[in-house]
Amino acid sequence: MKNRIIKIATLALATAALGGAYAENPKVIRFGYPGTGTGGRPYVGGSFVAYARAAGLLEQEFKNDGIKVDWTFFKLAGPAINEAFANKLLDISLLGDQAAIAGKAGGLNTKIILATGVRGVTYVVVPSDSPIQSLQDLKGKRVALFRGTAIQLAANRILEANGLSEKDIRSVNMDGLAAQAALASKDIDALFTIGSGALQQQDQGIGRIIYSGKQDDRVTGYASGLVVDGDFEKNNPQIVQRIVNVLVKAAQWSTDDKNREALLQSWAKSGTSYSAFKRDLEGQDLQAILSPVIDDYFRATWKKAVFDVKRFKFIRNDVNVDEWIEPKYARNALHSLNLENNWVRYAADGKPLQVTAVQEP
Amino acid sequence: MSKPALSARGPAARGFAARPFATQRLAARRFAGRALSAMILPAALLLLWQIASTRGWTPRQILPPPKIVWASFLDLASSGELLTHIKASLLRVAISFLIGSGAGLVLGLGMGLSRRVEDLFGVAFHAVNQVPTLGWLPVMIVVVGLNDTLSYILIAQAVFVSVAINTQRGLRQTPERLVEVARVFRLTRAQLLRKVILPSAAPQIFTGLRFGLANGWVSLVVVELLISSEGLGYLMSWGRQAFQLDLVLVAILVVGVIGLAMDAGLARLEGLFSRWQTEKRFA
Repeated sequence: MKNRIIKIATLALATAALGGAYAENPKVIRFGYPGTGTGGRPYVGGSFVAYARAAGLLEQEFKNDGIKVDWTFFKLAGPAINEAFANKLLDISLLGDQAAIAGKAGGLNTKIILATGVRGVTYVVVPSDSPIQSLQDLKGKRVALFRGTAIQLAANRILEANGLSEKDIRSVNMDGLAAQAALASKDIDALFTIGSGALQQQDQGIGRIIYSGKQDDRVTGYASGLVVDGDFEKNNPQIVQRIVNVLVKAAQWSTDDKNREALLQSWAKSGTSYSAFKRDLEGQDLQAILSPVIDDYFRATWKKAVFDVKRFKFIRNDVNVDEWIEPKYARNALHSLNLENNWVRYAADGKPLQVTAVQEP
Repeated sequence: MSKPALSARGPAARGFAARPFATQRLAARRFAGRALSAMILPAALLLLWQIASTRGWTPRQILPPPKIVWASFLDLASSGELLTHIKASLLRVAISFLIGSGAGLVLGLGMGLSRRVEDLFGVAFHAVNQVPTLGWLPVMIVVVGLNDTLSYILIAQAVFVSVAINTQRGLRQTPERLVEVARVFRLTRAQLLRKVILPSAAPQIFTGLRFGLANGWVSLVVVELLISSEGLGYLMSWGRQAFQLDLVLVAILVVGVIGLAMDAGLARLEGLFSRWQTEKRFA
């Protein structure tokens, strides 16, 4: 009996020691995504991660290792993703700036390992027959915004740039799909939203867009990133590198203008129409807004987001962006896939960096 | 249940000063003992909470340790933010309580005094009663819309039901012998109502008000979770959205303490009231 216990203990110790050095591959990669498709369907649009999901690229990559990719689409978006990270129910997720920052400020052990989007566009939509014409008309009105997500930060920035604040409107917390339904039934007077849903509502004659971030240079667009659980990253660096490699390849395909049609078709699996995506991206440089590169502009956007989120009192502790971002996976992927010059790099002010044609020998 | 207990305590309390010193001390010790035993469970919970957070049974982001929640409480209290939320919630409940209890008294009096009114409203009222206040929420959102009116209606309804039922019950439970005595004295209907029925129903009506307030307070939190942009319920929902679960816990504790204080206050009033009733009746 005693012998057996010792045997088991030795075995356990040996496994633990081995586990430290060569962690066994996980059986499953638990991948999160903020929001769901229409009616809760498990497809989304708007990013190269959404394309990778629709095309099953990660599943293909890990099939031979017997590793499953388990996608969870969070109706309650970033705030729910933070809870899932805290409860160790999630390994990796795309996440918008405000929620990611709230999680980090709350002490979550996460790392940002890849850029998934910058210069995000926010719209303000009102019912199509509403008398509301401008942001100024929103004063005292019931306006849906999704608290705790990138939409809230975007809304506060937009209101501020127009001499208003969240206190001037009667804000109602609603997730994306609930807000669209509430606008259709006119339970709300307006809604702040990101992405193509706004254009879909305009197409359907339900909504009218009174503000689009595309035309507004005063307001910094929201950012998103690929966020990984710190322990998962530490224990599975090779797996994380392979995930990033797959996603960088997906980004290359997605930002190649000749694939634009196919990209939008893959996003339309979410239930939002192809034409809504098309108009959402009209006049947008896919290379710039969907670049996976962690450049100075990406860092600056996140630093500004931390600064603003703190200023609007959505967090209480500070977050050090430079320590939070772990750029090595993205760097390795760009190097090994020979894509280092595939995307223009942008300076902190958002202007393209002058490419030095010839490096010093 | 409270009535006989209180009427028994009434004369005893008046004799308190005349009692010998030893008895007073005994009473004081008994009171301290009761207060102490009332604290056992909360203290045990606090201990469990502390252990759970130090041992890491739950992630500290999900269940922040008591120390952090206390710090957030002080922070919110000193910035005045907490007071703003408390005021908003109290005002919302006060207005709804006035509306709900007013309507509840009217219907309760009507049904308690007139069979015809009861025949008219009774079945519908009891049918409506079978659905909990929050069960009405989806329907009311469609009818009224998501706004403050909705919150007043839902809270007022929670108060209304309790007040109406207890008022009716109180009126119906007038002891037959008192009514007989009144008949012997040939009181008019108005006199009968004013001198016999209402005083005898008063304690039960008061109980209705007390439970009504408690129900209203519970509904408040749920309603504010959904539609408000200020108040204690809002603080809870915001805390969750902002991944600051300490705010949620602060709000829960404040809601609990205020609810307890309001109920204790009304219970005290109820005690005074019914003692006054008893004394007057037997004077």
